[in-house]
Amino acid sequence: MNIAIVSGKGGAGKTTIATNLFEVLRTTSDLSVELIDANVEQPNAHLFVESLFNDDCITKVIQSNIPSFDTDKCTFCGRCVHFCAYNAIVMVKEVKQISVYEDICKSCGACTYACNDSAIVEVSRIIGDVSVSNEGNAKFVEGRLSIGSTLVKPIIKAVKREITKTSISIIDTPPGISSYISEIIYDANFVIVVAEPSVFGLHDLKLMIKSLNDLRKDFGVVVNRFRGEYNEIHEYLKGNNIPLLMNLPFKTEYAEWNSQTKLLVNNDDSLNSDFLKLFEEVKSIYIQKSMYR
Amino acid sequence: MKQISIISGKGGTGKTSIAASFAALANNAVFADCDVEAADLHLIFKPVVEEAFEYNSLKKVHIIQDECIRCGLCFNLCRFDAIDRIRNKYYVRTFSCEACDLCRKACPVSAIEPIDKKTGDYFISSSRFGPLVYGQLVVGAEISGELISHIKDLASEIGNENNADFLIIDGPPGIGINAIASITGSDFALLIAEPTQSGIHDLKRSIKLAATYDISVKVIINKWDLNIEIANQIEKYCMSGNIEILSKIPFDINVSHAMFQQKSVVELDETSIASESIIDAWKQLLSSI
Repeated sequence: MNIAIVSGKGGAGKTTIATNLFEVLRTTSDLSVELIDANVEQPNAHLFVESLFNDDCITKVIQSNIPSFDTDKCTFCGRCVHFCAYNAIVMVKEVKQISVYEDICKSCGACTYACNDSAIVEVSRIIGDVSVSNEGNAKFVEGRLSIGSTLVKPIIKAVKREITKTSISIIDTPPGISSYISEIIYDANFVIVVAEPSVFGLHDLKLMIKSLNDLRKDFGVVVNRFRGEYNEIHEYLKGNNIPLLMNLPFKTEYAEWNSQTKLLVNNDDSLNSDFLKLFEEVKSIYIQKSMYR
Repeated sequence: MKQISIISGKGGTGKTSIAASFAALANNAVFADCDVEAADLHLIFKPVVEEAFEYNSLKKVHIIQDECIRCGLCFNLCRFDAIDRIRNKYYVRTFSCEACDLCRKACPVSAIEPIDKKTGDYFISSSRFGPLVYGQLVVGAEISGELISHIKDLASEIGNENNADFLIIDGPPGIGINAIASITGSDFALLIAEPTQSGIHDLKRSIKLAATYDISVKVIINKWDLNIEIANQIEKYCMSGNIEILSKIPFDINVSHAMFQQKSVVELDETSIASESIIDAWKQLLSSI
């Protein structure tokens, strides 16, 4: 079962929910549990869980191709330039020069396909890596984009390939509502949306819910850092029949533990049952909805 | 006109709260909200939209089933796994499609056509702080950085027409194409960091990103007293890299209150402890450029 943890706004608490849910399931059940960090631009989950895994982590380098031009064979016909939808190839026929903007190239291979003169050889470049650690029934997977690379999706796809179908997989995701999120939650069985109780939080939550409805995903909402002073999110959920899965209150000690990458459930015992309840809630909605499909 | 791009590695560190306060403090500035996936600045600016534009990125494609001869060429050529084969029929999985257009150009029977669907909106607006250009990506749409470039270019044009002193950009979290598109061309990137281990981790990656694009960096540590020890680590790290820390803003519940009331922090109460540090940061910023 794949459970993706998402939020439109950054800093709402995705990693907090993901890592603590993972820890509770890891320590209180004999289920196979995986924590998957798909926030490849800024992966943080490892800071909270790396102490749980001993250091034999396997790292796979993720590469992607860019064209390299053989100017002896190139006839400067311009077919590759025409085929490149991203305008990543620059050619100056008069001085027989041709090159590619690496930042813009998405490695689609259109130029190679277009070339009739075998003048393009694709060379690979590193765009990031995926690392996998195992410990007992627990597994941790992290995708990491190389700094300066813009190819986020291939890393996300490589991360997804590490997900075990028979496990409970908890997936931490990047903030936002773009196709990166669609790519991750496409295979998710359930989505937990983490919302911050603020005007910004509600605005971004509504966008996220639209994207989940577009993909026909089952989801529920966790309100994080709840202080009781802003209730519009709760009213919105009620009015739209969206399950409220959990209220995680604001406490200064939670903020402090979080800042030191201490898991909340290991420091406040009462949270263990709250997170277990969250999981039960997710399961029961998922089972209920599955019966109607 | 000085261009300042406010970004953060990690989300939720306070970019928008600080951008809105700078907006209230700046006398002659234009603003751009480049966090197109969660554009929140307009919630505080409450601007009047003057012109609205549709943004259409590169066109994704779909397969006309009646004309498809099921040769499978598109399926084999697509490097984004965006074409699904279901019972010998081919379908484009739209959100995986990267609009490279190779399948359409290669299809021997022209059975693939572009989809005309907007991928975002952007607006020129006016507000009590000055002109604001902002945009919103359509949910599930492709990120290309182009929408951000449009927003920045428009804001910059307006700024030049008005002889503005500053273009202040509220940027996105992360280090991907959106962050890159936001910081390029800026006089400096202003990084908002929070004193958490995650915050340090992400700050370091953002600083490296800025270095890759030769953009100088200044830092504000927000909510610094939530973890003084980590705040000190951030200071040390910045000092060792010769990075100026403009200010340390303490945790202040007034920041939340301001947001509830859809005001900037300094508008709510100039004398709150957060306001004082933000005002201090703004003065520091003015004197450093």
